[in-house]
Amino acid sequence: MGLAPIVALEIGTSKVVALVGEIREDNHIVITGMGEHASAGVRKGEMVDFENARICVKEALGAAEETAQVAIHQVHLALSGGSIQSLVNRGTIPITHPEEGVTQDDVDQVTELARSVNLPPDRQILHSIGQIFYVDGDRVARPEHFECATLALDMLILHAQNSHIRNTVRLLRNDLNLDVADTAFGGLCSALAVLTPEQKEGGVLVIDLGGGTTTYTAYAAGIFGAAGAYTIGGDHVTNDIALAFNIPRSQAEQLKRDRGSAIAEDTTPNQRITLPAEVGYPGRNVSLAGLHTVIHLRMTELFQLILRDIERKGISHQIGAGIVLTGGGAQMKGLIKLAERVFRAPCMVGRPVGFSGLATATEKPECSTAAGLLRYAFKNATVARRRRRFTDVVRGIFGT
Amino acid sequence: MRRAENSMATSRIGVVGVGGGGCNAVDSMAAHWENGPSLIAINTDQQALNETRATTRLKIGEQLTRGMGTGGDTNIGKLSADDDFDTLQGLFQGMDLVFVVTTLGGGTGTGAAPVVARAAHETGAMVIAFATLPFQFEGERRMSQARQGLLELQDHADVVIAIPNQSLFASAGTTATAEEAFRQADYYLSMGVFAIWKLLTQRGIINLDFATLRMVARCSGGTSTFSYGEGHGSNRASEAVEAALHSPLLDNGQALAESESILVSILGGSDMAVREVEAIMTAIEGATSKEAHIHMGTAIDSSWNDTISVTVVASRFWRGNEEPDDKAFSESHIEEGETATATPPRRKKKKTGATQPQLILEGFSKGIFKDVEPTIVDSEDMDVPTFIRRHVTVDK
Repeated sequence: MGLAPIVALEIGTSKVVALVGEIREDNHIVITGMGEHASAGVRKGEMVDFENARICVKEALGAAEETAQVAIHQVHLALSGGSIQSLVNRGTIPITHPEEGVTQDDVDQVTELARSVNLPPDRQILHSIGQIFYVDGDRVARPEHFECATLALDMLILHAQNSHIRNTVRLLRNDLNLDVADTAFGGLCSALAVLTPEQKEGGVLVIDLGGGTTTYTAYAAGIFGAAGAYTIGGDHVTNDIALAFNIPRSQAEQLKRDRGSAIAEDTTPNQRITLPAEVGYPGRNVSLAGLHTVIHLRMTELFQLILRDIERKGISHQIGAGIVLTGGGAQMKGLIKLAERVFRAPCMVGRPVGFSGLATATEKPECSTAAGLLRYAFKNATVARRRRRFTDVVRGIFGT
Repeated sequence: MRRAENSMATSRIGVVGVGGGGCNAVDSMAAHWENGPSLIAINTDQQALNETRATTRLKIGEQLTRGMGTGGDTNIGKLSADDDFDTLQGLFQGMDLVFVVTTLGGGTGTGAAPVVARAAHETGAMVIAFATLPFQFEGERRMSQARQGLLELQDHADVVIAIPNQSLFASAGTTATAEEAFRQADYYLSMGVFAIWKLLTQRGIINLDFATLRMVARCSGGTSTFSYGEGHGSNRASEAVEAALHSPLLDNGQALAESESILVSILGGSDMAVREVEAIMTAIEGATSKEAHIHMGTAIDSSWNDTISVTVVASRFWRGNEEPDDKAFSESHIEEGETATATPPRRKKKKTGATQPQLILEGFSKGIFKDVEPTIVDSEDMDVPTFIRRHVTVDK
């Protein structure tokens, strides 16, 4: 189809990931370039040190340019800060010409109405996603030609703090001379990367466990149902460990990766792990059971927060296809078991599906967001090319 | 570390008895607890103060009353406290939590307790007021004074737990003397304070922390009711929970069914079994509505072997969730009890964070997050490790 390669950029708390992707005739995405760099200057998904963040982004993009053999001038940006929240807004309009049935103009009008929500001045809309239409109260996917008196549309609005978006975009534009083509919610991108249409139809909850933030996205009966983010992530686990055993952060991180588990009771009691001496810190040993308890408590709490959210939104019983964990944190031992216990649903680790190319990018859960962003961007581009109307755009991207 | 934390918690919690009845209650606490929180007696009556066992005694309104009491005049009680407002504030400096214990109806308790609560609140402490309402035999005048005092207390305390003495009387039996009835009221009052204090300072199977208590305080509106039950021997768990649930203070359980916010404290000896806690919670959940927000905690005290006590604080309303995100959009406009201001929710959240003290030392327990915007969910600081907030002892 001749679409230009697209660059997806995610500036995460622990890692900056840049992926270059091309789309083939059969809508398969081939990842041709990849750049990764450990993050600095990012805390809880938001930049706190622009100079360091700039260097990291530059390094990651440079590596991506090199592997893909392209020059990068434009990026798509994934946002995962904890300020992102969702709400559902219903727009309703009367149909003044019932005998004609619902027309495209009516659909445009109700869409416009459902999209207009009053947000506080410091928030802006990131996505507005049409969920389902109602013709005289009955749920329909496509309302055109229905004869009815009222037409309504439920719109899921994802909104974020605008300073967060602006800061990141400014850094890319001014300091790195990059054009930001579009921004998208990281949690949504992860879902697009790892889910199959069957899972969306059956109802599924995707939890992306990042370094500084955890995002979640829920689908119920094929409809995008809820999304949210918490600024709690892998850094919190590391910090908990460092404080529990009074060890430096680097050792805590190592301990988490090598020996961590989210389930405490399988641990042999009294087993101890020896930590080597570091500058300023003598070598010592810590209890494995203690380590697992610290992680277990933190992860249980995080899952319970998400469970409570989806319970409130009334979709906790609609996730028949279960839970999909992704992001760097998903590799924690015992986490699947813990999630199954908390959510009382089957659970698996999700990796990008339907991508080919660089194996490193397509096999790792921590690349889900960037890979999903590629899919999001390509879908948008294809749809725009066919010049479809807005509602179709929405359905094309987020439907099953 | 455990011990250090305990002693810190103790020193930063104060129990203040205001007026004759309040001082009596504090006195009975002093008799029963060792190593309890600091006990403060505040009265206008010098003679009554002399007899109290509280560690700190403060006479207020010396100029107005010459240490002779108020003669039942609430206005004098109020003015007396106003006169010594600075001293009161000094007294509460550095405290995180202040229990104001009083018997409403009299001059000092009714008039001064709201001022005392205000002084504590303004120094930054969370204020839980325990107030008894008069027996019927005390007369209509005292009753109406008490009602007025209760309203004023509500303005200045985070939580007001009201205990209608008349309901207590029903449980004491018809043959009880006035003396016995009053002593029973004192006992209930002190047990209520004791239960919450224990919950915060003692490690148990399930811990309830200061942040949770603060959230419950913030979310449950108006006056709360309270009941207490005790059981001994092999059947202690069911005895205790039955007594608490069928207490006349809760209209024999009716009040519980209508409450949206419920705080349960279970206190037992080191022999308390998890299945007993479970049985108690099942009984309570059965007696409450499905929508109720139930928070519970347990505390273990080795001197309580063979005994279990159940304390239930029930509030009729649950004023929404404090989660900033939801609130910012759908709820902020309609939320009841909120003073309608144009303040953006974010700033408001910060402000509450600043005025509400944190029991945990921030710099110590936040590590790398000490310089970034805190992650607050339901008024809990998520940057503080979960094991610290849940008071779980971790194998080192």
